Amino acid sequence: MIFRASLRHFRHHPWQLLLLLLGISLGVAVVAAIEITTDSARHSFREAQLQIYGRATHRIQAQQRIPESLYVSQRREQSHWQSAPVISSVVKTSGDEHLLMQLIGVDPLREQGFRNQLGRISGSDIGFSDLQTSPAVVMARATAAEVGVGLNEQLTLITANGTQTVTLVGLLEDAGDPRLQQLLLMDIGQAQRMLGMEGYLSHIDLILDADEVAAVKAWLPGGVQLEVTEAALSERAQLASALYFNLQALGLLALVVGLFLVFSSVSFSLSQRRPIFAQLRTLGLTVNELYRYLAMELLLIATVGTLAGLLLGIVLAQLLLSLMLNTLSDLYVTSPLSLLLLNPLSLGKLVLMGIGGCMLAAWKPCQQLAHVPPASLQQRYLQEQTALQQSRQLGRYGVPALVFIALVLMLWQGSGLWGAFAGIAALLLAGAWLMPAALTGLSHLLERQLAGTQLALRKPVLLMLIRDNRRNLSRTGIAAMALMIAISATVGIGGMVSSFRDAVQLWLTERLNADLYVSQSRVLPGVRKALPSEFITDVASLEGIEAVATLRRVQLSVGGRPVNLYASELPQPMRPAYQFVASDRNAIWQRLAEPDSVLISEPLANRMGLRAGDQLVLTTNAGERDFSVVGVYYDYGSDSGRILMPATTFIRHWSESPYGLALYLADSGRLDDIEQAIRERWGGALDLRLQRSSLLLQRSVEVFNRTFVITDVLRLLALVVAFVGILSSLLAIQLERQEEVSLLKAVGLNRLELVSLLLGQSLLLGLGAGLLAIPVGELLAWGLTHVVQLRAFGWSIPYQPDLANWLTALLLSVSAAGLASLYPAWRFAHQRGIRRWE
Amino acid sequence: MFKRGFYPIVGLLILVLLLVVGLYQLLDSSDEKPDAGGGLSLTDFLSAGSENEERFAKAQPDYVLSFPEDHLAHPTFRSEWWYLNGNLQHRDDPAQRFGFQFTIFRQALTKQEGAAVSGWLAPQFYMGHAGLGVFGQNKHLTAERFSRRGPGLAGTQAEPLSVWLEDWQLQAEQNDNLFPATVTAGALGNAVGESFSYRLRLVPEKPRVYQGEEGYSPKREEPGFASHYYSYTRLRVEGELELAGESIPVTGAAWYDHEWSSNILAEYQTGWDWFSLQLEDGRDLVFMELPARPGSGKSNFRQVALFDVQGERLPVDARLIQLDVSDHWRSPSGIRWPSGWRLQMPDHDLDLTITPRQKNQENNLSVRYWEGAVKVTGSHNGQGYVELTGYE
Repeated sequence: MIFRASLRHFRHHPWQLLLLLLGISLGVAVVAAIEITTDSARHSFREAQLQIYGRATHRIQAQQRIPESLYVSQRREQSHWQSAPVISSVVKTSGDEHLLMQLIGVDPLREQGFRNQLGRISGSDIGFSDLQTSPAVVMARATAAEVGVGLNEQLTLITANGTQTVTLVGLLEDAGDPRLQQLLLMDIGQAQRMLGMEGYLSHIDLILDADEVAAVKAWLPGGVQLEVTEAALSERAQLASALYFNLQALGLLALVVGLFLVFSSVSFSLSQRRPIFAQLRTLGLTVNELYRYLAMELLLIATVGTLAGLLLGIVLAQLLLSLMLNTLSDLYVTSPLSLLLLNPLSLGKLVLMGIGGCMLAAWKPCQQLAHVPPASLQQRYLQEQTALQQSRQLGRYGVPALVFIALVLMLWQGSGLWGAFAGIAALLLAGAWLMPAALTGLSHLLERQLAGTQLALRKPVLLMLIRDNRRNLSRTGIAAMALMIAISATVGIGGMVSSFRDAVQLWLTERLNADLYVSQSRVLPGVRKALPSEFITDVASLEGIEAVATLRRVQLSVGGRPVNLYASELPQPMRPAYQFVASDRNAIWQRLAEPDSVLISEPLANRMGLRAGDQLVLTTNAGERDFSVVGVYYDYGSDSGRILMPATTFIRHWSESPYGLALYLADSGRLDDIEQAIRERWGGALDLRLQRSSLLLQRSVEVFNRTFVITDVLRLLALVVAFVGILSSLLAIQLERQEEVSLLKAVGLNRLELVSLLLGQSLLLGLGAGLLAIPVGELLAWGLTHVVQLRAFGWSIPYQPDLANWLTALLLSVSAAGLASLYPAWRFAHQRGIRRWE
Repeated sequence: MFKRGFYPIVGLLILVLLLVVGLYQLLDSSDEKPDAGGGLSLTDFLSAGSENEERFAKAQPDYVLSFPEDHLAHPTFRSEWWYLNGNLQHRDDPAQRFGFQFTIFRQALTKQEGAAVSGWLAPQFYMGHAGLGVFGQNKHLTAERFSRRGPGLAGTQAEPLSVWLEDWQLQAEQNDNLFPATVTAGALGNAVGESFSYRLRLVPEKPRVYQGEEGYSPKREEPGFASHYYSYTRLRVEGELELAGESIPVTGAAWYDHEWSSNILAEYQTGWDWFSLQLEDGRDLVFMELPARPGSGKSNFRQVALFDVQGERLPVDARLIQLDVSDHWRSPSGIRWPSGWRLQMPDHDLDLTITPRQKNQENNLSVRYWEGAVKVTGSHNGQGYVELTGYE
């Protein structure tokens, strides 16, 4: 019977069911789209890397390359450690379209278990000797077609060792598998010779079990490290962690908004059916029976809604993925492969999340319904009274409690990243609980202003409008909360993103403070050619140059993650480029002059728990050495961290030559002359790249902004979902006012008055939500920038409120509320006569 | 002459190298269907083998072996191997018997062009086989590995005199004499997960002997197909086995061969039966038969040599030797191996019954052959090793 009653209810109010489903689906869809997109992007990167790393669990590597004698010793002393030597380098095909490829030189005899691409060779009679005796390569069939090279034809490659010619002797049957299409396989001996690496390897791949790892570490000589490839793999995948993080925050926002939508939809649909349930209860339906039925109904609706949302999410993810991968390719050398990953585990997780979230959101309204005595269920006035009382209680006790919890979580470092997120969520919830009280307050305030004025006397509808707002709180309050949450989250995340942008741009502007940057043109990404020392001396002696700073770089591993160490002479004009966390600038620069002193970036300091005065162990050419940290500087370039030291210190421990120069001119107006002079003197001998800082800055900002395109798109998407959800739930509420409208008509309200009453109420609601969303959103933005970003990446960002966000918030909330009432107002206004029941 | 031969094994060795090189998806990813004709082509080796044979150095009848140089690799020859076998027993309990085999094969893929080719580019490939029979437990453990010569991964060197493939090695104690030497090999988890290793010191009890004509050992009736081949027929062994985490002290007697050549088996030859026997009276016998394919119109080719206590070679008429198979054994891999023989040499009053220490001594590696310790009874007692190839 209860089932039939509900069925009839939904048959009479199909849009209610539809809107309930829409709320669930949209929320789930956005979360699913973000989850699937990020998962796929990560997976794509991983797959691309897997082609190169193979199945190795560990890798022996040094700062640059390792002598092959190390590999020979390993095979001769500890042959039971499964290992394979690898030469690895990025090369470019010549021709009109440069294609970046990963050249991998391997010993086919040792490849078993590591990489199995060689097994896919087909099409020609290649023997081992063909690979070994001549510079011969194997590549994917699709790539060969793209490059336009056939079997046994020659192919010109641009390598770090100049232009080289190889012969294509075999094709990998890629079968459309994009994972193979960037690979260029070669015999290790030929690869060594071609790249001028005779006697050296890029690294040694290992497949080790847990017991062997310690033994390998003990066996290794100084200067080389054993790295976990899993870490290396995920490191590459994590590189874009700032990006992923932003996406996850958006996903979370969409989820919260979605769940709130569910909460409001369920509450509303239940409140609509209260009279029916009350009758059934009076007829003898027990609380448990009602419970069970409601749970069943919700489960059904949640399942349908979630599955629909999932499907929508997958479609959405397909669209987002290409956008995402474009962004990522901008950032990294290897172009990832576009593979949409539908991982059953994460899909299952999403389904559980959708259904579970719905049940959780609906639990409270169901419980309320089931526990209220049947008699009061039928009395509208009592309901409103209860709602008001509850919201007052929430406002009085709940909100302070939540704010307290939020503050504790956010200020107490030990709660970690998830603690910070929980704090943010608590803050949002507190804002939502404040909503009814805020609306009441707003209406009281307006009432007081209006009461007794001429306007109120002439237009009694106005007062009605304002007071009615309070009266309808049990129904509209929840929609208003949802609206407020969506808007404030938009404000908060918008604030965080814009603060981050501002901070990075400011940082870039400060950091790129030289007039001119000089390096050799990079033939291949990641390959930096050293500048000859005669060149450096000559440039330094040019007239009009105030200071020259050489730039050196070496990649080290600190705390299990790759960290770039930079070195320069750090002349006076360069120093303003670095802003320090606390401490006295002059003292830091003075102490840096002492031997073995370094500066570290803020993320590294936070990650390793280091402060000025601490010691940092770095792997030098001669093994591990202690360095003293004299200062911590702000840096957004890497969340792994960076290290900076004077060139004099660097030279004592490492051998890398300068790859670039930063030139500071006495008179910036002479930039053209200096550029001209350098080109004239060295243009013939070196392929130089001269970059003015303004151009460099512009390009950096461009790349940086491109990475935020996807964030913007997703933010927009989340907003659209919130908008549609709010619109639909408000629409549902307004459409339910048939009875009331009939009454008003009977009392004598004309169309215009009716429309302005309905619209006005909505707009007031929207205004209230918008106004409250601004402070809550600002708090949220503050929490995200100061607490969450710091804990996630280790960098602190000065938070700057963005007034444009405020305007957006008001506009959004008012227009959502206004739009939601347009149709009901129009419909009621056009109805003829007075209907008691629809 | 060519001892148990070289040729089928070498042919198979090539095949294996190619299998490993080209077809590891077969071993690696069972879910990927290997397309027929895929992988690196075997014809590269096998056909090029006969075509390019001329390019490799050939064994010459007038070549005089000189030592220690000829202990080392001869990269201008196509194929080469260093081989040890031995019957062992527990030092304190002679009833516990073991047998070991150690072989390092070298194969040149193309003729090496002078010294210019070095490091990874040297076209020299090595394969190692190690076997250990544990007769008390009816166990036959084997291990196998491959490597190119590379920058010192495998090869030979003069100081100290040694042959190695990664950490398997035979290393002399002196630079001018190969023996006394120590041989080390084993596996920590072989292809079927077993672990074993041995470390044995080998001391010569007899001088080096030359097979064929002063080390020039013909391989078939037709002239010009031969190898260079010498042996140490009796080496005293002392050392340890590592078995299931247990160290077992052992003693025994071993046999050493070193052979190199560039010709492969004739079309009509399928394999060989090779016997190295150490008799209790101090004499050592090597006998090899290369059966000709039925219908080829060729006859079986035989090589035999008998050495006395001092290592002096005794005259033997190969035609008078009578070899009869007295038993067979079908291995789990389905091959029916001869597993018991009667060997008669009337001109030396030898009538020997040769019985495997255990039937299961099949080396089921990339190349499948039977390599096992045997017990000799009959007119004379003794022990030895038998190698059987070409059975299918």
